[in-house]
Order: sequence, then C-alpha cells, then structure tokens
Amino acid sequence: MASSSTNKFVLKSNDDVSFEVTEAVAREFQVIAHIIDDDCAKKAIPLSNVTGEILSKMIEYGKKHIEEAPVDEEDEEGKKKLQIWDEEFMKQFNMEIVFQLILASNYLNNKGLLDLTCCTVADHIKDMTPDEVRTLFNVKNDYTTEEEEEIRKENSWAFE
Amino acid sequence: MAEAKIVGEDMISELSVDLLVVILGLIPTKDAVATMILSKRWLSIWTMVSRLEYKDADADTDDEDDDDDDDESKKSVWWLLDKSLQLHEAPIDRLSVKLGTRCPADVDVGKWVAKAVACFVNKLEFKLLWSADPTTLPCSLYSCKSLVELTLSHQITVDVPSSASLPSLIHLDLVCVVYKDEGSLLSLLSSCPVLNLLFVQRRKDDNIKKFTIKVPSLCELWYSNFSLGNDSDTDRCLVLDAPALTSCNISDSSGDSFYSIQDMPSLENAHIDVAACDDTFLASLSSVLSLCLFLCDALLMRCSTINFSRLIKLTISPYGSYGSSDSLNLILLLLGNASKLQQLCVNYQSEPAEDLPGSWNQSNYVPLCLSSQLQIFEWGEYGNQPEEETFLTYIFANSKHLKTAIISLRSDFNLELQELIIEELKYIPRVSTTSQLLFK
Repeated sequence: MASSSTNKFVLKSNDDVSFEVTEAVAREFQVIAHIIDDDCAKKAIPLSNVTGEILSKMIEYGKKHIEEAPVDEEDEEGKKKLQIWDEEFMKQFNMEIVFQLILASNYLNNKGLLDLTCCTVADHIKDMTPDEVRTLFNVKNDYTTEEEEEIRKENSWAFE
Repeated sequence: MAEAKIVGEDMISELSVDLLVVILGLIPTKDAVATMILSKRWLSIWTMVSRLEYKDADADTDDEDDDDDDDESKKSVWWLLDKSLQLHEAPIDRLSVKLGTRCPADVDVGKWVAKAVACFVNKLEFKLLWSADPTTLPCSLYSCKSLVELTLSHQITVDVPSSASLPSLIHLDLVCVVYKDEGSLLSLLSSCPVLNLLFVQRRKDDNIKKFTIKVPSLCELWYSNFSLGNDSDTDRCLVLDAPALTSCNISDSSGDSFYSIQDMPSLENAHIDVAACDDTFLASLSSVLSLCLFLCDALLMRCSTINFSRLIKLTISPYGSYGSSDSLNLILLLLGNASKLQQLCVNYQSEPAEDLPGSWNQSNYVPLCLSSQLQIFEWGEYGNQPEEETFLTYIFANSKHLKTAIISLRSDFNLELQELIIEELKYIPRVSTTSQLLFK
C-alpha cells in the first residue's frame, strides 16, 4: 500500500484549477480526509466552495504545517518557528482574502487555519471604537439615529 | 497582521453566527460587548460568546502589556461584568474574572460564579484583589459537573461542603486563598476523582496547620510557601498522599515539615527546596529520575542514606553552610546511592573560608556511577577555592565515561582572573580523554 507521503490526490477548485497534493497534505483538511476514508476519492476531488486562488494558499499552509510540524508537545522551538511563519503568511493578505480564507477553512475544516484567520480579524476589532470597526470592515449601520441613541442609553455600562 | 484595507462589501457581517462568536471570543469581553452597536445583525451576537474575560488593569500585575496600571480614574470592570452577564445567554466555556482594588467592596461577586456554573462552565478563573475581607463563593461551585479547570486566587475563602463533587476537574490552582478550615481543604481535594494537576501557593494565616494533599489521581504538584513560619507553631506541616505523582515541585521557606504517606513509584521529576522535612518524605522520592535539591547539609545527610535506584540526573544546590567541605562529602555519599546517574550539576557557592579548615580531602572512595555512568558534569558558580579544585580533580580523575564537563565561573570574577582560572582548569587531567571541557 502506498504511504501517505507518496499517495497523491488532485484537489479541484470551483474555477477549475487543479492541484496535485500528497495524501498527508490532503488530510490536513478534515472534510477531504473523510472523502479519502470513505474511498470516494476516485479522480479529482471537486471543492465547490473554494476558488483556485484561495485553495493554493490553503495548500501552502497545509504543506508547511506538515513539513515543519513540531516534533512533539514539548518542541517549543518548532512551535515558535511555525508561529512566526503563520504571522508572516497572514501579512500578505487583505481583509477580503482573510474572510475568504475563514469561509474556506471552515468549509474544509482545518482548525489551525480557521483559528489563525479568526485571530487576524479579532486583532483588528480589539481596542477599536465601534465607529472604527464599522469603517474598517465596511459594516453598514442600519440603526436609525434614535435607535442607536436608545441602545447606547440602555446599555451605557457597555460604552464607558 | 493583515493589511487593514477597506473592502467594498460588508464581509464580516455575512459570516455565520458561529464564526462571529468564535471571533468575538478572541477579544476582550468589553470589546465584544461594544459590537452590539455596529448594526442590527450584531445586537445580540456577543451574548453567545462562550469565552469571557473580565480583567481590571491592576489585577494582573504579571502581565507586561498592561500600560494603564496607574490610570487612577479607570473604573473597575465590575459594572461591565455585572450587567453583561445578566444578558448572557449561551453556555460558557471559559470565564476569567480578575477584579482589582477598585472593585466595590459591597457587591455580590459570587452570583456570577453561580451563573457560570449554571452555564456549564469548563474553565473558571476567579481572582479577587478587592479591599474587603476574603469572601466565600456559592456552594454550587463545588458541585459543578462541567468544571475542568479551576483557579481561585487571593481574597477568597475556600468553604467547601462535605457533599462537594467535581467529577471532571483536572486542573486546580489555589493561589494565596484562605480556607474556612482544614475540613474544607480535605472536602475540596477528595471531591476531585480525576484531578491531575494541583498548584498551591500558600499565604500567611490561611487557617491551615496541617495541609493534607490526599489525591490518588494526582500527577503533577506545584506547592510553594514563602510566608515566614511562626515559631510557636511547631506542628505545622504538609502531608502528601499522592502515589501517582510524576512531577513534584516544592518550595517552602516557612519551616513547615513535610511528610509522605506513600511511595511515589512513577516519579519522574522532583524539585525540592525546603527548610525542614521528615525522612518519610525524602524516602518517598527514591524512584525519581531527575532530582533537584536545594537543601541544607543536615537534610542532604539524610538524603544520602536513600537508594535512588532510577536516578539519571541530579542537581544539587547546597545551602545553609556555604563553603562547607561537608557538602562535597555529602554529594559523594549521595552519588554512592545513585548507581545509574548520568548527569550531575552542582551549584556550589563557596565563601572564602578564613577560619574554616575548608579543604576537602580527596577520597579514595569512588561511587559506582562515577566509574561506570556519569557522562555530564556541570559546576555552577565555580569559585576557585582549594576544596573546589580538589573536588573537580577527583571527578575528572574518576569519571571514566565523561563526555562533557561544563564549568561556569563566578560572575563577579573579572575577565583576567577568569582566563587565568580557565587555563589552570584545562590542565587538570581527565581520565576520559575524549571528554569536552566547556566554560560558561
């Protein structure tokens, strides 16, 4: 039987871009791991919710986390190295891509990438006023002026 | 951090509630609560966040990133906690509350502990530094089925009914709390059938004379007591009954004594820094693999009669009688009962002995581990005293399998002196000719 480092699978994005990856990388995504386990992975595995651009980034992330996986729980140096790589990896994306990565890693179920991308968004919300958050994420304020006043008044403890 | 670029669409509001709840769980609760004002979609999402953290700036002095510690005008987070938890709806995975000196002293802090218990909390951390006396917490806390990790810290009186039951609790921290009585401590520990890690930091006058740790499931123990002992209390002690312990870190300068009820056959690491202890305690350490001792000569003497049959790494920092050649003799006696020892570290701080006949006489006796096992020898704070040089000469002459010797010189020696000593030490003959001699 072929080992997970030589066994290959093809992942196909919703815009018809194909990526050949090792089984180990494919298994970084829980949903794909299930497809493999159910022996449904005959030819290419179609991923209807992910574009080629996003999928290539996710595969890059998955590969790195396979290749540079810390030796064990106590491998602090290995963990630190990977953490630095994660930070650098996220720096290249604008918010639009970050949100697409959140949706895709949630869909394909990769907890590490989901945590990382959610943290990136959280870091932006932290220590910002609601107005700043609205501006940054383009949140449309659908409260009327009166409604907003009312909420601020009722929950004044939240805005001190 | 990703480039903060304004995008055309409101992508964040389109995320599912589950994902928004995850994101809001990653930020301080005060920021999560404030998102209610963003838009209608956001009005109540914060009430479903399962990780909540309320922290007064002055309640977390360990944190280096607290830059607003001295902002006297800052209100306590108490009011936010009090209001927002009333509106909170979802199960709580993790609640961390740290209330500082500005927390009002006349409020019921316990009701939110009860709410967390009712919301199936898994991890609860409660640190109270208010100006009022220690307070008790609701009884329901001690019967919480979902609780996995619990930290109680400072102005809290641990008052536990005998009916307590914490069936899921794995990790318990008791930091500078007081106890209603010894029975409360016993009830608490005996209510935890799967407790794995216990961290205890004692404080003065915590109502406990005999601190009994009887936990059959316990693997890891951290215990410290730096309060000054009361000389009139000669019966103060810690009684350890934890046969499954694998790691044990005890620092106690109070003079309390230590007893062990049972051997600890699975012990891997032990760090013992105590002023007094009973022979049963030292003997219960005999299965340990890695041992670190900060003991006076009298206790080292008692250790030297114990057979450490599995010991691989030993670190000794003798104290109480600096520069005493007795310590070096005692180390040899200890080595004689540690036949598998591969690594020895000695932090021997010598004082220039003026009225002491400080020379250590090279022994003809050679412990088995020196001639057959020892691979690494480290000497911290080498002071170049005659007895130190003789001891080093002896180790080098008898350690047939030595691979590495690491000597760090006393830091108050100037560079010139250090170089002189290094030159001298290089010429001490080593029976293991392939061994490396390194200096730090």
